[in-house]
This record gives sequence, structure tokens and C-alpha cells, in this order.
Amino acid sequence: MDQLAFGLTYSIAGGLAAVGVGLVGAAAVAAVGRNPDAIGTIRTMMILAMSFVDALAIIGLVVALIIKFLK
Amino acid sequence: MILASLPEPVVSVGAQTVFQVGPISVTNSMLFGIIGSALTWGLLIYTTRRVKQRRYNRLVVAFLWMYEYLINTAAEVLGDMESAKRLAPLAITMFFFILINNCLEILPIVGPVTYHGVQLFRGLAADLNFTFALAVVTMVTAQIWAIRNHGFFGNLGRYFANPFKDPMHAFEGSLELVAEFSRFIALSMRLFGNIFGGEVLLAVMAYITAFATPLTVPPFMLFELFIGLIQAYIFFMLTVVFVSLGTMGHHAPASSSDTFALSGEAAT
Repeated sequence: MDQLAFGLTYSIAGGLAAVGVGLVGAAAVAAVGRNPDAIGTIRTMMILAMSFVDALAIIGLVVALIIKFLK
Repeated sequence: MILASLPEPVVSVGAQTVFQVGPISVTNSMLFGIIGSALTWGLLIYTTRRVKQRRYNRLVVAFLWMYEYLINTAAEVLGDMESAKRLAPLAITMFFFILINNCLEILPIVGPVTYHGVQLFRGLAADLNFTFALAVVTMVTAQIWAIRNHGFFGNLGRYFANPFKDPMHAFEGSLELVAEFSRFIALSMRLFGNIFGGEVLLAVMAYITAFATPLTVPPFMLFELFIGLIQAYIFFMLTVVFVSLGTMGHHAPASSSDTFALSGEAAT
């Protein structure tokens, strides 16, 4: 049961974060396509937004590790 | 067969006590943090000395370049250079402190060096106490700036309003109050999770690839360096954004659309 909880906790968080990162990347590419001059600003904002999404997946990983190793 | 004979990587979520000095238990994160602090002090003092003497070398120029980029970002978010210069001693020092500690975290002494069965070094940001302390410093600073800007009761007025006179503002204010507390968790868990996750990733990669470790682990170490830089920048950015949220008037619009986009994301 703990193994299942570990797997699900990380896979749900990671999967949904992947969708979020995909949305951010798609929006950034579309923005560059519209305005290629702004690529520097867009890249910075894209990395920032991606890491905000990423943080949730990482928190999912930490919770999963707590389930696995802290009993 | 080979895998079964190797010792499994040790994963502990909290920092462990190495030894006790009176009532204070010195943890392995604290030991590593002392090294990191000493290095930060040394590098920054060296840089300021060199800049005062106008003797530049590559290291000094690299620090100056980062400093200039960061203070320009802060000025863009806060609206003017004056307040950026006032916030710089806190926010930019935090950036360099977190950056240097995150870079130290990939050193190979972090895992295997043990003392009485407890690993002697552990990344400073892989201890929730440290990141939570940083979050407390950030949020208290944001409140102090808000009080300086709006006055004590003006600051309270951001959160509380008479629900019969202004029901919309009262509702919004209560949400703002909850958001203010959720930022502690968001700020501290983000940094902690990334650095702790990175440490676990390195340990697990070294474990599952056994003797191919010299080939497989360095790319992940580079990745961790990148993550450390990004997380330090994000901590700096969020500090500046939270402070600017407090100083901007409740009804006054933000100076640029940039600020709004960031502050919306910052509530996660």
C-alpha cells in the first residue's frame, strides 16, 4: 500500500505538472512567433513560470519520499 | 547481484544532529551552512575590495554583472531605482547566499563523509528550517515596507474592511490575508523541495548505475547547478515581488503589466 501511495503521489503530481509545463512552453513559443524581438524577456518569464509549475511537482516528490521513508 | 551488495542510499527528510553544544544541537546542515556563509562573506568582501581599488578580474566582473542584472530587475519591478537600492542589501545578498550554498551542495563530500554514522555534510537548503527562516525574513520585510508606505492602520486596511460598507474589499482582504500565510509555505517548500529532491536524485542515480557512476552522475550535477541558480533567482524575484505588492497602493495600478503577471503566479 505504501508503494502504491508512493507511486501515485509522485506520478499524479508529475503528470499534471508536465501538462502545466507544456502549456507554458506552448504559450512561450506562440508569443515568440508573434513577436520575435521579445525573445529575451519571454525566455526569462517562461523559465520563471515553468519553475513555479515545477515546484508543485517537486513538493509532490518530497511528500512521496516522506511516505516511503518516514514511517 | 552487484546492486544487492551495495549499501542503499540513506534518505532522511530532516537534518540530523551531529553533536551537541550545550542545549543547541548542531546539525549537518548547520555545519555545511557555516562553510557556505564563510565563502559568501569572503567572496563578497573580496569583490567590494577589488571594486574600491578598481582592480577588476574575471570573478569580480562576473559578480558585478550579476549584481547589475539583479538590481535592474528589482528596479523594474519596484518602479524606481531608489527603492531597489534600499532593498538590494537584503534581496541580492539572499541571492548570492542561496546560489553559493546550492553550488556547494553538489560537492561529492555531501553524501559519503560520515561521523559516527551520521553524514557530516548536507546541503543548507535541504533543511526546511533554513528555507522557512528565509521565508520569515522575506515576509516580515514585506510587512515592514508596507507599514512604512501605508502607515500601520493603512496596512491593516489592506486585509480588513467593513463588510457593510465595502463587501467586495472585505472579501478580497480576507483572501489576501490567507495568501499572505500561504506564501510562507510556498516560498520555503519550493526551495527546500528542489534542493532536497536534487540531493536524493544524485544519491539514487549513483546507486542505480553502480560502476558507471562517473559517466552518469556529472550531467545530473550540471542540472543541479542550473536548478540551484534558477531557484536562487526565483527566491530573489519573489522577495522583490512580495515587497512591491506591499508598497503598491491597493487601488493604484501596477507600473507595468510585467509585475501583474508575476504577482499572479507568485500566489501559488
